[in-house]
Amino acid sequence: MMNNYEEVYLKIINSIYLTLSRTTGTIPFGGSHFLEEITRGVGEQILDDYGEQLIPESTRPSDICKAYLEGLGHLEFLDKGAFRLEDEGNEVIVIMNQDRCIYQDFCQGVHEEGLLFYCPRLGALQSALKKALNVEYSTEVEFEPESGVCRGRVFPVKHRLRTEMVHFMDDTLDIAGERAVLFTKDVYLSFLVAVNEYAPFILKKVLFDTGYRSFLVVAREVKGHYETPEDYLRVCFEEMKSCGMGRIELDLLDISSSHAKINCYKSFEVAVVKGIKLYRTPRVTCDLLRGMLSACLTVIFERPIICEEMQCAAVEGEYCEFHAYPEEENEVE
Amino acid sequence: MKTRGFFGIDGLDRAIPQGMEYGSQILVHGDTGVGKTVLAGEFLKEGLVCGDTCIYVACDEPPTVMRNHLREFKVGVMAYEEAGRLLLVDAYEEDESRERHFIANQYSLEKYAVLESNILEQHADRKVRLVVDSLSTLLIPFSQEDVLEFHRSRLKSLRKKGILALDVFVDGVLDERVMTITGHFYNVNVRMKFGGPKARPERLIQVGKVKSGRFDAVPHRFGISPVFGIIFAPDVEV
Repeated sequence: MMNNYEEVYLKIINSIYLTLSRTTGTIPFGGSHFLEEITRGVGEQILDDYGEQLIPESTRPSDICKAYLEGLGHLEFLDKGAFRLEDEGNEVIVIMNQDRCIYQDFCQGVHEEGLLFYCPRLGALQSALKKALNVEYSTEVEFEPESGVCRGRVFPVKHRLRTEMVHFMDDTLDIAGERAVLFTKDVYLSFLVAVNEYAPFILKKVLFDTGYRSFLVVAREVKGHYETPEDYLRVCFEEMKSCGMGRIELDLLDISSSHAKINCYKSFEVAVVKGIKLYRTPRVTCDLLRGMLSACLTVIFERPIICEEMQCAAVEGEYCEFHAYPEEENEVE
Repeated sequence: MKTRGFFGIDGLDRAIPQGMEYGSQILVHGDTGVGKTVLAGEFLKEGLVCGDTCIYVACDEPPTVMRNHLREFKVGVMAYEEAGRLLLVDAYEEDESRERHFIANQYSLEKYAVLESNILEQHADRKVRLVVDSLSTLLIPFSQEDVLEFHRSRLKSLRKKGILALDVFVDGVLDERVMTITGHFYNVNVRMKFGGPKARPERLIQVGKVKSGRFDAVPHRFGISPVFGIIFAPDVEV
């Protein structure tokens, strides 16, 4: 039975987490990463304060997590019976009863509002694993409403989005260690207008090549970390979205024929030209994204792929539609 | 406001700032090897990015030549062909054609007109660009009267259907008088020729609207880049 103070504290803790989820969701460049860092950071602090009392039986991830939970149980903070831990390779599966979780208000609020979510409990285990094994871990959790059970995973991180690694230090901005600059669509539009004025015939090609070359590096980096093409593409699209290109969704993927259909909602390139008479006639405009998608598919299919924008929201419709096929060799005439 | 089409070549488009209404016809004529097919390719590329359905009727060479040409400019030909937005029609190989679309039995202009019309009917609900390269080849065996009658009825029908059509003619193939009269049937005339010293010939282009009486008599230099296609120099007069 909780006393009044405890109830108030729990409400405050849950609303702090809920507010953090709402706020980080609006932060560009890896709001989700920041939320994860916050939840993990809380666990780290506990470890710094009480870590010496937590001695695992072995270096197995589940034993490290057990030690952490038991340690907190000794501190009479955690109802350790609410958890079950299982090893699955180098991952830890955590089964939890939601009705016995002190973060249930936060968790329910997040699901109701569709916010970013990192489970604070799993975040603590993530910190414990990092501290013990010096390996970066991440977490995810699924709630089963019928059984009232949360199924969590704490797993070694394969790859972090480049856009999550944005830092501003010593007067310079960098993304994944590369010097970066932010600009609005007006700056980009000025660039388009200038090229279109001096050499209109190069514009389409320059944008495509820029997108292609710049994303090829990212795509190659991502490829090594994911087993299925769908996972690889999801991460590539997430990276593009984090850069502000728009929300990109895979509509069709045919591995056998190296063919894909992809849609982009709220394209940045559409927003740039909307209402501006840059071209003489309405036309497809997302050449930078077309280049990025071509690079991304070229890497996954391991053959040159060319992506065409068949429908653009700058002309009509709610989204832009891209069709990709292998770049064919010229036929003998 | 009606949709208007352009060539997709900056300098040339500046010569027709208002563009061309769908239903207009363009006559492109010029010397062999001057770049008429390249210009036709630019016209198709422009149509593809503007959402048009582009139909190319290949009369002088197999359609693969245009397919290869577009691929060299990094056009995703397969995407457009699969979506039915680019139709390469074989009017060269006739019955032996392995193309999805072909026009055989061209010994009668009436038959050609019907076959061409059938293809266009299938895309009646779309914005269509039609290129025939070269129409002059098809017309060689026929009398002046038949040729002129063919132009009259065909162009009338294309206008009614709202097709933006570009017909290529090779200079010297048809009688000069027929060409002069033919020129009057079209909304826009483009002439391409070689000029300058024989040792270093230059490509020149003239564009005008015969029907409205405007013809830009000043030839402009242009070049063909393997990467960008036709590059027009509008400010450089000869």
